[in-house]
Amino acid sequence: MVETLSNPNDFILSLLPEQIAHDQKIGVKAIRLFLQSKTSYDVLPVSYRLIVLDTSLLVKKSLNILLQNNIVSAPLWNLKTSRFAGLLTLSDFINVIQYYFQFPEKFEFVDQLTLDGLRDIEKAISVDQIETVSIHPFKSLYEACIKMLESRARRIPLIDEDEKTKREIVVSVLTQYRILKFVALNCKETKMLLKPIRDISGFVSDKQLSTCTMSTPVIEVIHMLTEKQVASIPIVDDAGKLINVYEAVDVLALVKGGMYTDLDLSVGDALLRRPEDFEGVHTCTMNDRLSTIMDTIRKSRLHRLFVVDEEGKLVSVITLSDILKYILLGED
Amino acid sequence: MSDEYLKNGAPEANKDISMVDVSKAQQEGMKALDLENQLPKAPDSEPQPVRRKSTLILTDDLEFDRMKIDEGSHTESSVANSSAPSTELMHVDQQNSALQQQTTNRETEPQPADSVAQQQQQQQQQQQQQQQQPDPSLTLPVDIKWVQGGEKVYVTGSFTGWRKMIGLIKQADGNFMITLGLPVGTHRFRFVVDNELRFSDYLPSATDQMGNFVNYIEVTPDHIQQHLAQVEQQRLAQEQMAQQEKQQSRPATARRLSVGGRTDSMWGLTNDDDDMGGGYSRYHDEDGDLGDSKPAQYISDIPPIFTDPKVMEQYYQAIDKQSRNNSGQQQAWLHPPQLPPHLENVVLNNFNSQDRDNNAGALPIPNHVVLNHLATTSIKHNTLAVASVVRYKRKYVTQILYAPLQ
Repeated sequence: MVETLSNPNDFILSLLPEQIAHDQKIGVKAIRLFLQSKTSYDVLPVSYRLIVLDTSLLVKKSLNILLQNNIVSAPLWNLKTSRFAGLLTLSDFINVIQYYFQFPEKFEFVDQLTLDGLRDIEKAISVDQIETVSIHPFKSLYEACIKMLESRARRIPLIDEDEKTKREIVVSVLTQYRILKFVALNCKETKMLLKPIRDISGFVSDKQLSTCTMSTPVIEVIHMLTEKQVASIPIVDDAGKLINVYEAVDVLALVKGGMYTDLDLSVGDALLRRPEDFEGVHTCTMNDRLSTIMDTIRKSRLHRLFVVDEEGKLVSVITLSDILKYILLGED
Repeated sequence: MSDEYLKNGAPEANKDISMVDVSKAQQEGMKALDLENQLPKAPDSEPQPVRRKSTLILTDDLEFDRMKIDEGSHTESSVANSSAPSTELMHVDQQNSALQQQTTNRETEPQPADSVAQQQQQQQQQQQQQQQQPDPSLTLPVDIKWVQGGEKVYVTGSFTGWRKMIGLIKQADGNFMITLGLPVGTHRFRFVVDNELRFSDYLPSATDQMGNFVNYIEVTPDHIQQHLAQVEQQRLAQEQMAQQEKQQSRPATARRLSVGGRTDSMWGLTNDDDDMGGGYSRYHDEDGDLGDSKPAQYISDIPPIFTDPKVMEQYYQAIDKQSRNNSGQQQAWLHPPQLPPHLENVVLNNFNSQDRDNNAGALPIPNHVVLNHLATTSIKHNTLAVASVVRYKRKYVTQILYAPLQ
């Protein structure tokens, strides 16, 4: 008895698959109830900062501000209308890069581009405008997650109405990561998610993974990000082993200071620009369980886990959206 | 008043009142002094008039302070001269032999000349300094009264450099009085009553820089001006009178500042409608007549100083020049006032954006006094960041807005 208690893994292995499946189901439902009982407002710290950008800012200036504040997104404020004007995200910068690649003669235009002009860029390269969904801070986290999954957005602005001016105010922006971390920190039922991910139907299978190698031109990788509507492209070697990842956030370092001249670099060279505090690539195996993954989310800031086999070859990927979708809609 | 003049051997009416009657009074005082002096006079202490003159015009606080430095010797000499020393000064006197007294007398001898030279120097300095500075030769006749009894009463003070004692003349009512011509400034003095150093309970009193308790009076340029105006008026009136009645001389009725006795009319200025007492005078709006003829009215035009940058700049330059002329701090108007200390603590300054665990942007809980205040960064790369902490329900949002400067 003492031995089984001291080694939790033995205890888990001693459980029958039926028992694990049952616990998993109860755990997911408990987490779902938790998300329904808590609001976005509950996730906010008692005191926090919110960086807002004026839409008349130059795009290159806004890039510096994001890097300076170590953020990847910011709500926009239109001074003329005194209204919230959507979110500035990494995909906007990717759009500008693609536009410049398509129209290299428009350097002057790109250099003096303001955040107002981003919509024109989207039209010019015929990218679907990402619908900005928002939610009231006092709606449940469950609703916020559903909205995010529907719009494929990774973050959602919390919008309320000012009591005096009756105009909308941006209270904060919630990301999938923050919601999952909130769950991992405050919901002990995550310990019940003991089913190996290989046994969760549709969780890791049926995925068309786009990959690149170290020598792939970085602009091709950037194209892949928009085509596949993903936030990262894994980099593998000839044997298919995972060696690195190119993330959407890496484009900030690539065009830092408004320089669009390095787009012909290889991915490997482009990654040399990455800040030194890069936290690495998170991986897992098919035998890992969601309880472990949630524990990792609690401890470190991750946005996806690559699933590798025993030889380190890339098998699949688990994004935060996958986890959210499973918690919200799975096990029914 | 005229009686006093006559008793004091007052001068003829048509002479300059302030100067003459004071010097006469001074002569009286000196006579009394000399009579008191039992010691044999030093033969070379003859030129009394020069001395008297100098003591009278010693006026300036500056010189007074200078005299203070070697007060000891002056006190000695004055004590020696009078031989009616106060109890405070007695011990010095008793130590002195006649020879020492003589030498001190000799030492004091060149002083009149010195002080005259000093005085001239000062006058030059003052003329150099500013025209505003009053002419020290302009004096105001001030009655100094002693109403607290005694037989022999002297006054000594800053106007004589504390060296001389001026005798007060006993009046018919038993009080003592002397009229001194005093220039603009604050004059400190004490009385020596029957060999005892005293101060009057009926005059303003204060502790001077050395810690001595003294009486004081203040003569302002306004006093002098009023006095001069009155003298001029009287002179004109007297000329007319003289023409009308040639032989009939009429005693001057110069209005004086009466010091002593009644505190409410201490300066004799209660006749003056503008004097509200206690150093206050009635306020006169110089533009009052102008304002009456042109009543102020409200306009809707914004003065160009607020709209036209050129006019604004001119205005600022004028202010700057003015403050420089007044040796004030240059461009002091440009600097904003200091922040209250509680606003110095900006919660945002406690934020470490490199802290990866703090992905929620959590900040310390702000003190409520900093709420709704606007904080700014310095402008960098034409971009300004302003921040404000506001409440959202029961939480605090520190919103930072980055905006370009155009």
